[in-house]
Amino acid sequence: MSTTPLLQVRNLKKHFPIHRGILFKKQVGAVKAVDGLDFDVMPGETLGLVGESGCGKSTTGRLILRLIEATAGQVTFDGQDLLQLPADRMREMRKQMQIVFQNPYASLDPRMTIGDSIAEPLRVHGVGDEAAVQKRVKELLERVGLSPTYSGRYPHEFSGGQRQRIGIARALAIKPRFIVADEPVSALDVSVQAQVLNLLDDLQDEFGLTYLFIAHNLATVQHISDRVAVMYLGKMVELGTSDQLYANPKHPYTQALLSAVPEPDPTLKRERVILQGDIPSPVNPPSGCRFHTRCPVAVDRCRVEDPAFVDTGSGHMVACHHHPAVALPMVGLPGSVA
Amino acid sequence: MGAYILRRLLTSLPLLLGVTLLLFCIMHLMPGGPLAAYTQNPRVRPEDLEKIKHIMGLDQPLYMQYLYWLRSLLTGNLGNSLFTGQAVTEMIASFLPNTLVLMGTSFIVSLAIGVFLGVMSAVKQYTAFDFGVTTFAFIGYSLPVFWFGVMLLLLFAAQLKWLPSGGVHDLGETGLLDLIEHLVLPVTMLSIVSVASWSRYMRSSMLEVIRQEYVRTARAKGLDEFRVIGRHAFRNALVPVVTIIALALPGIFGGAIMTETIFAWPGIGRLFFDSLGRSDYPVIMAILTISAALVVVSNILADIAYAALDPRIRYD
Amino acid sequence: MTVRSTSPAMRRVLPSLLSLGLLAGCAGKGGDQPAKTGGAEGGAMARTIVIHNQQEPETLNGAISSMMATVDAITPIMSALITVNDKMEYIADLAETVPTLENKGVKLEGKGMTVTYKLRKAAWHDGKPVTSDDVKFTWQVYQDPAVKATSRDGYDKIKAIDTPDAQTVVVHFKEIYAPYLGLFGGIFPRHLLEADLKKQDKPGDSHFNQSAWNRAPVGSGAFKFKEWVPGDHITYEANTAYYRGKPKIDTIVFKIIPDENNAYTQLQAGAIDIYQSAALTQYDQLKQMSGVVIHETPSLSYEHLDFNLANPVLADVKVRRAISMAINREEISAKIYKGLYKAAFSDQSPLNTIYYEPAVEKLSAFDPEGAKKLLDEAGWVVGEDGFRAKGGKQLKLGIASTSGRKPRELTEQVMKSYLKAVGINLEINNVPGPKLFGRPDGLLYSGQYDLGLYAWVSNIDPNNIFLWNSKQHPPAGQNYTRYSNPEVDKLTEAGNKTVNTAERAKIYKRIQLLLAQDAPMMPLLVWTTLNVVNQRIEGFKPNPTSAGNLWNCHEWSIKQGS
Repeated sequence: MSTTPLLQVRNLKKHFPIHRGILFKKQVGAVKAVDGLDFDVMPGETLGLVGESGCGKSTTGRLILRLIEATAGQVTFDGQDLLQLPADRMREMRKQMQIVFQNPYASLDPRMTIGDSIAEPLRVHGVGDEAAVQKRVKELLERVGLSPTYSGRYPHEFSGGQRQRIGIARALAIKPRFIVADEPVSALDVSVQAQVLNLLDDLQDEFGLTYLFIAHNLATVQHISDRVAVMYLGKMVELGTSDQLYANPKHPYTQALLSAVPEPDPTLKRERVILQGDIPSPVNPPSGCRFHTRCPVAVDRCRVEDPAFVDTGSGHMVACHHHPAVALPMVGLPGSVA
Repeated sequence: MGAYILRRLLTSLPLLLGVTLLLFCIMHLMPGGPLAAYTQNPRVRPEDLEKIKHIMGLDQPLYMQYLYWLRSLLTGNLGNSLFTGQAVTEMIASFLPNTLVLMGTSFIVSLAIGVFLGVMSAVKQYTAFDFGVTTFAFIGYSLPVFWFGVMLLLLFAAQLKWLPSGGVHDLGETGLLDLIEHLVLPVTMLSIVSVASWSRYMRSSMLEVIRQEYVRTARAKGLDEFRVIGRHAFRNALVPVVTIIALALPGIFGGAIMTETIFAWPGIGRLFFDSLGRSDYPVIMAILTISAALVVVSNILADIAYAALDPRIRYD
Repeated sequence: MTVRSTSPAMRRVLPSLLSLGLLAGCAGKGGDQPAKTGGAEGGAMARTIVIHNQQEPETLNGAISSMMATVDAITPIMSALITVNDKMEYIADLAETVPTLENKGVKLEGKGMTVTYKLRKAAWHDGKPVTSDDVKFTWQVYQDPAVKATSRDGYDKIKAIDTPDAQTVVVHFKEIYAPYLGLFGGIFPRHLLEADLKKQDKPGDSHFNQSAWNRAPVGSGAFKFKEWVPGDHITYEANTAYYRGKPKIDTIVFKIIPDENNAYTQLQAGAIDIYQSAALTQYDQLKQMSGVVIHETPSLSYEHLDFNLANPVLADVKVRRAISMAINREEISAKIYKGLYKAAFSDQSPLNTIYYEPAVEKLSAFDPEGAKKLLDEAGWVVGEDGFRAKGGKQLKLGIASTSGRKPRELTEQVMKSYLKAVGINLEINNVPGPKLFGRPDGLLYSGQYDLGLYAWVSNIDPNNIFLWNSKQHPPAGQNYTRYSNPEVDKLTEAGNKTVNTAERAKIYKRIQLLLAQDAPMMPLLVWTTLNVVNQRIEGFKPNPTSAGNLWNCHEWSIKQGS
């Protein structure tokens, strides 16, 4: 693994404005979907990005690929700030970065054969003549475990797992270096999930891919990720290697998420932390630490001061006032259930 | 597919038959009847009226009149008008071309403008352009069409004298330019409402598609925006709109009574209105039956179009 | 040509700016196109008059139509033996003279009579001569039960027609038929229509009713039929061989314009020369339009109020007269009809000077005090609520008219207040036209009304037997008021048997006086027709009778220099 990051994200923000009025619109607020993210992704690495629905993790993926425009910040890919690139150069860059969506069915144009869907980026980016394109489509289908004869079929003729393989083939078509996998398996049956995860894993080894792997539970990313980042209400609360994070979660939110992960070994009993209430609205996020409204160990300071995202050693980052002084008691907290 | 169409056509025959029977009954429930025009004329004496009634076949029992009509339908000649004496097919043939020109032009113009505005307004959702189109659409919808037509007439034909006030051609003219000049005002009157509605249909259909993942995928593939919208979003957004288009097709035959009246346009709408006014049963029945048949056919067309446009739909 | 000068030039240039680029490719061609409003801009179309009609004729066969549009559309083509001028006088058309008792054209023979016509030398538009046999054929048309004739009245009183030579027609009537001059309004060509008449499309339905001639007639009038573009216009070309003299213009175009705003616009643009029966609502604007002349002509139609004498309240002549006297015609005319519709007092038109009795005007003048006195005499006493009552029953009457006609609805409102002032409670119950006029269940025909407000059309012939004779109560006739007066019965019958005009005039004047006294009906207002004509047209003389405005189209001309 190289030491120069492939992708550097700095102070990335996305605020969706909220308007009022019909004739004279004025902005009355903003949904702070992503509110200042800093992280790196190393070449060949898989970074897992985890959080509850609405925390901004999918938005982050899309911001990086500029499928939506960021409000502020830098996304540096291979030394270039993507957010500053003009549209035509950005289209060029897309050869190197692709996305696999959560819903493989919705991500395929229903009026195109899967062959055409896979071939389209090849044609757009002028990768060889038509024969070469067809050959490549067949190769890709085979590589993701589908029969090449399927290329004339339409998306609705496939099962969920097959569609996700198609989506992956489509993403791989132009040999990208970086793939955002936006919850690629959460819509699939559990039995199929593992197959698709294994496929992604194999492909990474084979093509030297770098993944940003977005998921809403920690269990999914645990196996595939080298490092894992946890997001809460548009901010990152903890980032560390899989081992660091799973063995020694430092943020109360990470701990709560981990306690919700089904444990394959029932003998290892873990205390379950049930979070109180719902995620607060990102329109009007809580002051101070955003998690304090639901945090079992929140103190006064948490309500006023936003904790910094600091390295606690060996790259294990966390944003919590309790760290490093406070060892987190896990039992007898308000809201916990034995 | 062929078998499907055939089956649909066959099953629609009894439906059409039922429709004609219903129409026939409703038509005879209208007050007045063909003889009303004569009863106000003191020179038409009751005994003269009896003879007219007999010649028109109105002294026959109603079910016989229906059967006679059905017979003429099956032989393909639709009977003769009670008043002009002409074959109904001939009458329709002489008014239909004008209606097709007027309605066809306005259909194409309004569809083109409406779809364009709808797409642009969806692509530029919540911009000034979008609000402009939306405002226009609501004005277009709620505009009293008759009033609007008269205003167009008075402003552009009477006041400014830019455009001719009515008819298909000026006397002695047959040219295309002359025809186009005569089309501008009635087509504007007809299109204002349909542009409004097409643009709304297209906008909402487009908005639905534009949020789909495959449109995002297309962007991620590195397609330029024109291709993303044109190839992926527009083609998919068109599917539900095509159904509405197909269902609107019979209207092209039916003409537009108000527009044809205001702009002295000799079309099917006026033929129908005049015939309705004097209860010219064979003409009324012919126009209504053809319209009903067209509704059935265009429904089938809509289904075929659906299957052609959306690979997910198959009729077996 | 002031009226026409602006429009064509402007119209060449500006559409391209307007029509959303549709014309972009063709706009350049516009400038060198010939002017085309059909008017006076030189060339072959130099002498064309375009006359408007709101309706399209259903056919050009006058025998089987009851539309006024048909009359207008066939007048240029067809010849009548006798026609009517704008002063409501009979004049000779195809006949050389108007046959009367005085000039021995009419001879009374016992119960019957004989009328002799001498025909002018005339030819059909296909060159064949018009002969007495064509007149006889015309009678046969009306006699044929398989013809959808709208009026056989009169033709069925003819016993035989002799044609001693090609120019002489001798019509033998079974009985004395006073309105004989109204017959033979359009002569049919035997050589073109006899085969159609004899052929029956289905038993009892002559092919005459569907003949191709009906849409492309060959007549003998001042103009030849040229073209009928359905729904749009009919074109006629001058008949240079016309027996009353070559027409002074080349072409007449009969343009069908259903909407009155459009007709107004086309008149203003010079696309039509004659706007017939213009909308009264346009009167003020039309007065300000330059280059046109407005002809305000009294019509033969008149608004009136029917009293249903079968209603016991209205059976009392005092109540009927009181209602007539309580209503102020002048005020209704001024307030609702811009003064255009003038007060009416008789069922005969004031234009029909031979028959009209001016004395009726004093008999039924506006007099609310007189009305109250009559109601007192009739035993209707004013109650606390201001309305009269007799025997505990309020004096309450319904009025029925055709719904949706604003001036009539306003008239009813005004009447309601007039009648309230004398203590009568008027209740307005309007219905759609067919529900009012229909047979057998229309309100008038079935007698389910108290007061009826609608219009009648009088005629040049004063015959009104179908309105007032007691044998004409429905279902036999149109005596919707159920009026009966033995003297009127006798007079209406005698009127139809009297050929001498002076004697006939006495009869009908007497009827008018009796009607004014008995008041079975209150004449309200005579309609006015607005015909608006481009000032370049000369010789247009509006004709309120069934001869129509085109009665003298062979005399129409276009002013020099226009």
